[in-house]
Amino acid sequence: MSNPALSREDRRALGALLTGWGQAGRGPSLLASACGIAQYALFIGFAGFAASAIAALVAGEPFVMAALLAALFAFVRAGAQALETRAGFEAAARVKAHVRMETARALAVKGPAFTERLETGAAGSALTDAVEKLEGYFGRYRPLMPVIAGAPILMVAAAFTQSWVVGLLFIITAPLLPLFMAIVGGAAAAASKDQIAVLARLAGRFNDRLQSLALLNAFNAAQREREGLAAASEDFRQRTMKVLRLAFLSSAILEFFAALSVAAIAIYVGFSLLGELPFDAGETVTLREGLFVLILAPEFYMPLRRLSAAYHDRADAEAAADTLRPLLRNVESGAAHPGIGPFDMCPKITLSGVSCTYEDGRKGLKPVTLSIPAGKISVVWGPSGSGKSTLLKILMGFAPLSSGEVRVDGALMTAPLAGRAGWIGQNPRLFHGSLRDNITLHDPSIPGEMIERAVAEAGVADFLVHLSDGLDTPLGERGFGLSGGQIQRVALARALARDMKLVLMDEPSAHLDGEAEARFLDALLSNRDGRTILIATHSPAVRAIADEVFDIAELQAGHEQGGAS
Amino acid sequence: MKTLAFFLSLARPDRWWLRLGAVLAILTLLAGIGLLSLSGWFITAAAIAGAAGLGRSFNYLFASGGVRGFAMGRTLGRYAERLATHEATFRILARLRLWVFDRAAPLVPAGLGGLRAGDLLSRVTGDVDALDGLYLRLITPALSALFGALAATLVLSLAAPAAILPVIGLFVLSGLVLPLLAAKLGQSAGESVTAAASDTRSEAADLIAGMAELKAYGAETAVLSRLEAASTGWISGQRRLAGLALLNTAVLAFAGPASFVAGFLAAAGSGAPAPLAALAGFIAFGLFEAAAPLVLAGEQYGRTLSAAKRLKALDDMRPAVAEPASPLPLPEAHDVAFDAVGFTYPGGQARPALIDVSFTLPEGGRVALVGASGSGKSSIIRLLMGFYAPDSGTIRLGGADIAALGPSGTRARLSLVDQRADLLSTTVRANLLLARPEATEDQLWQALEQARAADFVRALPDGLTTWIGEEGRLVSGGQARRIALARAFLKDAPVMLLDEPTEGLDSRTEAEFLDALDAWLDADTRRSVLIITHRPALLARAREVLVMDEARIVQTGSADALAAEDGAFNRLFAKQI
Repeated sequence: MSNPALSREDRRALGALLTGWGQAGRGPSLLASACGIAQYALFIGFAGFAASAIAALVAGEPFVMAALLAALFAFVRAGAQALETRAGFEAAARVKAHVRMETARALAVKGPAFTERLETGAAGSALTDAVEKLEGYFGRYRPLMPVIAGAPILMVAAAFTQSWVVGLLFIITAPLLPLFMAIVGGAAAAASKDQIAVLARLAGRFNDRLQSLALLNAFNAAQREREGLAAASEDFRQRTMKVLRLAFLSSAILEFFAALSVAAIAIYVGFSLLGELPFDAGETVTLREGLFVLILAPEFYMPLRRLSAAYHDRADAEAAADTLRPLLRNVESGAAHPGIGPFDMCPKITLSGVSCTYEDGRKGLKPVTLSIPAGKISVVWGPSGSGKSTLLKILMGFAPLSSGEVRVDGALMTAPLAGRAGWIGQNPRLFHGSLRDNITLHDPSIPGEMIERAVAEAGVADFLVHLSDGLDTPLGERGFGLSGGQIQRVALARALARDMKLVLMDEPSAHLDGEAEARFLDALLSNRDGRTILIATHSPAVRAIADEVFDIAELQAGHEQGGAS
Repeated sequence: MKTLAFFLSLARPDRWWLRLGAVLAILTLLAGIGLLSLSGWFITAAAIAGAAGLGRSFNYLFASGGVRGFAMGRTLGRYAERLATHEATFRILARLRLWVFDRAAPLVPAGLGGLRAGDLLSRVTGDVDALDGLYLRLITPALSALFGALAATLVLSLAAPAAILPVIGLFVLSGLVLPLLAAKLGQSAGESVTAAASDTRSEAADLIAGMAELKAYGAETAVLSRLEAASTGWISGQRRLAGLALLNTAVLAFAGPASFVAGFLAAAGSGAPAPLAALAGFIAFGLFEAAAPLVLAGEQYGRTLSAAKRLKALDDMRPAVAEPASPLPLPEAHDVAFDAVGFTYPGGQARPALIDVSFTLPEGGRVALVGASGSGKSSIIRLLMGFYAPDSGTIRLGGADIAALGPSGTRARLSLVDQRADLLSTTVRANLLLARPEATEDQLWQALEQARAADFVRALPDGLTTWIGEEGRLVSGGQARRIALARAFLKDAPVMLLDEPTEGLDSRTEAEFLDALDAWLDADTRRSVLIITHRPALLARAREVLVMDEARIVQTGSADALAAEDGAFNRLFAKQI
């Protein structure tokens, strides 16, 4: 969740971000505001004719026409109100679509170096849930701002034409309301923001304990945890109610003024009509005028009441912007990859003095120098945390090349090898879609026979027979699950379908049991001819099939000595 | 309706808060109707009296007092109503969560009806959230609309009976019929929105979790455009839904003023005097204040109802293993024996998970279970923990059938360190105390020392009070596993069950983990361990290895002896040893 205690500076930055996003929905947002003002103008018409109808009835004049005209104004007003809502939806829809794609593109530019440090669930919900939370702000709150300024002016003007006392009453109460609301609401708003965080934590605790029931049961601890949950809920209720007692005051004030002004207008108009006013107002209010302002009065406070109801829309949007901002920050304009395709021949790669320091200062890899032979299986060997994965990532552009140089077949590497090399990670993603989509990754230009050959050679064919629809079987989150070993073979098929002459593998067997690892290595061995294969691993079984083993600790030590001498 | 009644009965202890909230909501609405209609009547009647020169004799005390009273009553009523309904909601929500927790606890992890426990739980979570609004947004608005309509009918029947039909008719039509109709029409649109939302979610997750592969093959643009298409589909679904809601809004916006006009015309047409015709119009106007929340309630009705139905189903589920009515006392001994155990997972699984499995884990025993994934290793631990009951055969602990000891009795003798090393999202301390709530500070540190975890826990920003787990994730996988091991040590149960405890650890961390385990075992020769693994380093320390293949134990012996045979063991480990 968002940090409840946003600094003033942060809030300004979030405000600027929100304003920028608003541009995407500017047209519909303006239309919504215009309709919002128009519907109050139309309401003035309704009030006028409704008052005329009653006055006509009292005077014994024909009143049906005025009553029907009032209904007509009400009808057109309902249309304007609907259009206001619709345009607001459209404004929010455009902003949401824009923000979602802008964030997704930013993530794609930042690449795995950034995304691998995110929790998939959290980042995924940023693209969906956080973006959805912008809806209220852009659909309701923002279009309402001009209405708050415009509509009351129209209604005050209309009231003045009927009775200056009532007009004055409107003018005096209008600025008082936001003032009172700000005084009461200020303290409550700060507290209620904390409260949102507490609520999220409480819901989070309940969900976490529900998901961890197996663990709790294993320790016979479900009953104890239940008592903890009960105490936490009780504590939450008490604290929240304390805040709400204050927070509801601000809407009570609005409520109070709306009711009070209706009462004041009714009494003023009534006494004036009776001729019993205790003071000389210098005006005579007719029945028509009196009824007109009476109908107008509750509506006069409506825009402000709508704003106070939409208050949490803004808090939601700020929380969402706070979630999304780190994903959007420091996006370098994505250098378009030069259109170089995969290698035609297996390459030889030489690294000299290559090191990596991440943006946040973490050391990814201390300088190493090594030469990866063409057409061989090379293993980079070392314990976890030694930088062997980073070495592979530097080649792909997933980690920064901080010093040193990389040569491919003797030529200086100017762009990372992404797009030119096959990649198999520790936990390859099973994308949702068919098995075929998972091999082609939605690239329609890969010919069918290449897919079939890759399926056979990667050993995918072994379990293909068990899948109900063969290559078209849906996989992924909501489809068929594959075992770790099977997923690795699909990942291998991805590389083979494109006939990649260079394949990089980052601990490909870390999550496989012995038999699955053996099968994967068999498939790899039968496809090794004509390929440069580089594997980072700490598995002895993988090491056993290597032509060349580079011990990363030795290489780094060697480089330090070499540098010192 | 029956389902909703059930959840209302769950709220019985808080019924006075609910009633208070409902009564206040009704009073507030009535005060609003009273304020407008009395004002309208007063002005009109005053005009007639003033024109007739009867101003002085007009009894305005009732009217002006009433108007002021309604104004105050309305404000205070709304304030008190919001406090009362929120109080009720929080109380009931807490009760509902605990009710769900109580029902779900015995069902986990076995789940039921083919649902995996995880699916069940994530569904439950969403459903509890959906029921949040049952009382606040469904019941209170419905009650106050009902009483508002009744009061309006009563006043109109005295003042202008002709206005009853148009006013109440329009109210019921726009506040009740239309929203329910829209909810029905919106059902398919709602379902397609849910589907489109989860499409978008999947594409987003694919993009983020699969970034390395996508970038490697230059396929990120393909997934980006799929995400864009899914997002567009989602938004157009929302647009269809919003269109239906829009119809409601528009009808409602028109129906209020229209019923003002209709009430007025009907009353005037039937010959009612002008002040009463005005009264009829303003009553209609005031009553429609109750319609907007009713429309919202109608839109949510379907969602709330189906959530309530699914939650209620929890009540009818029976746990896979029930606690016996009078469990046997725990035996002194703790040797474990499986005797011809057969087991198939519930939910229509065709393949048995265990067939005729027999083995013993004597006191002081160190037994390793190996086998390809899916061969049945973890099922043995799940049965022993009493998460599931065997279909045939018996499992004994200290000579007694665990069915007679009951799951919680059995578990008191067992410590489990799971494959995933589950940690609660809370502090290190609370995670440890799970195993032994009364443990002292010294005992906590001693367990951490034993698990080789004390050093890094000391280095954590807040030591034992550092927040870990889902939200914290300040610890690495290896550290999480050592905290889980410390927790198991702290429990001080004599039988340790380890399910792939060193998975994904590098060999140095693995060796440290095993040293810690050995030291714990050596401290008391009666302590025993059952360990599932496919790591050669762990086999070396086991005295006996059981090899599983396709739900059966196919080989038994020491690791060295098995390596010499030509069998399943060799196929598993040939490349590694």
